[in-house]
Parts: sequence; C-alpha cells; structure tokens
Amino acid sequence: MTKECTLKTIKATCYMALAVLAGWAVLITLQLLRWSEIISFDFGGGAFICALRWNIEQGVRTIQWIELVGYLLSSVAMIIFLLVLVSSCLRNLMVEQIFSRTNVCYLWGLTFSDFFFNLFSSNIGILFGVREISFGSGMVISPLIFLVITLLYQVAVYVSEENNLTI
Amino acid sequence: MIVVNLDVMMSKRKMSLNDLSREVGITLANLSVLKTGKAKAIRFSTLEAICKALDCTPGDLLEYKE
Repeated sequence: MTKECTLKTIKATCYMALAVLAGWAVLITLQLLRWSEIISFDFGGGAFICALRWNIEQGVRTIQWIELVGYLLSSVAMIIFLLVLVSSCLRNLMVEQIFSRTNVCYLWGLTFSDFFFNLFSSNIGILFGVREISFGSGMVISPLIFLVITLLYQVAVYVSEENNLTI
Repeated sequence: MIVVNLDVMMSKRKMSLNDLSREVGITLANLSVLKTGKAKAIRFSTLEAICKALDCTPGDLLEYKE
C-alpha cells in the first residue's frame, strides 16, 4: 500500500469513526433521557433504553447509583477522548505530521476511561434488577490492548520527533 | 557531547545562512536547527553538501566536548 493510499484510508477510517461516535452519543443521550424519565418509550436490541428498576434496599440502591453515574461518566469520557483523538488525527493528516504528543495524552485518557467503561458497561444489568457484579476477561483485555497501542504510539512519537530533527 | 561549529565556519568563510541554504539546498529552518545544536542527527549527504559549500572537513564542523 502506498503512502497516499494509507493516508486516504486513515482519513476515511477517521470519518467512519466520527459517524460511529455520533451514533454512540445519540444512544447515551437517549439512555439518559429514558432513565431520567424525560421520554417514556422503550427500545429493544440491547440498547438499555427502558425504565430503570430501582431497588428498595438502600445498599443496592447505592450500588445502582454508582453504576449509573460511573457508566455515564465513563461513556462520556470515552466519547470525548475518541472525538478529540480522531479530530486531532484528521488535523495532523492535513499537515502530514501524524504522530503528535497531544495524541499520546488522549490515548492515555482513553486507556483509563476504557477500563472504567468496560467495568460499568459489563455490569449495566444492575440497573435493571440483576443482583451480581461481574468481572469478565474483556474488562482487562480491551484496556491492555489500548495500553499497548498507547505505548507503541508514544515510541512512534519519539522516533518521529527524532526523524524530524535529522537534517 | 557533539558540538556543531557551523556558525564558526560560516563566519570564517564570510557566508550567511541564506547563502549556505541556497548553495546546500536545505531550508533555512533546518539550517537553523543544525546551527543552534537542536538537531538529533545529520545525514552524510547533508554533511557532504555543507563541507563542499564551506570548503572544509567534517572535523571542522563537528567537535566532541565532554
């Protein structure tokens, strides 16, 4: 694959990622509106756009609140970090300087928020009556992959900076 | 550390950064990076072109200091 072709592919992928992110943001908004009972329609397909089942026990209710706030915060953090990363990539593509230090910060943020997002999203059933907390392997694998990518990207930034300062 | 004595050689040859840039075919920005010691590495082709333009050897341009 030639350099121009690779750059075009990255650009197309970035636009696709932006479209998916927009969809994700809409989903989170709909969930929030339904859970706060501003809207009243239910939606299937595992989108969790249906009424919350608050437990009457205080302890369980506290866990449900932590789950709700954690899920929303980690989702919003993921969307924001991904959005700024993809936008930054698109900007960098225009000047053909793909690797930048700011993207490393976004990737670190993404790695941490991905861990919490996986933790809370895999336990979202708590909000709908499930009374168990699960710790799946996906919760660890996905952040670890992000960690590897972040570290590789960090090395790529160092190499790129060194290359730029080679006269 | 390696010190680049480009400014010394340029003043010896009474050559400005603009003239050197034109003769060697390197941008002013890159020559400035080289002159200020911010460069991480220098290509043999660049070194050869600068030596040719300034009529000197790599030893005149580069110096090792502890």
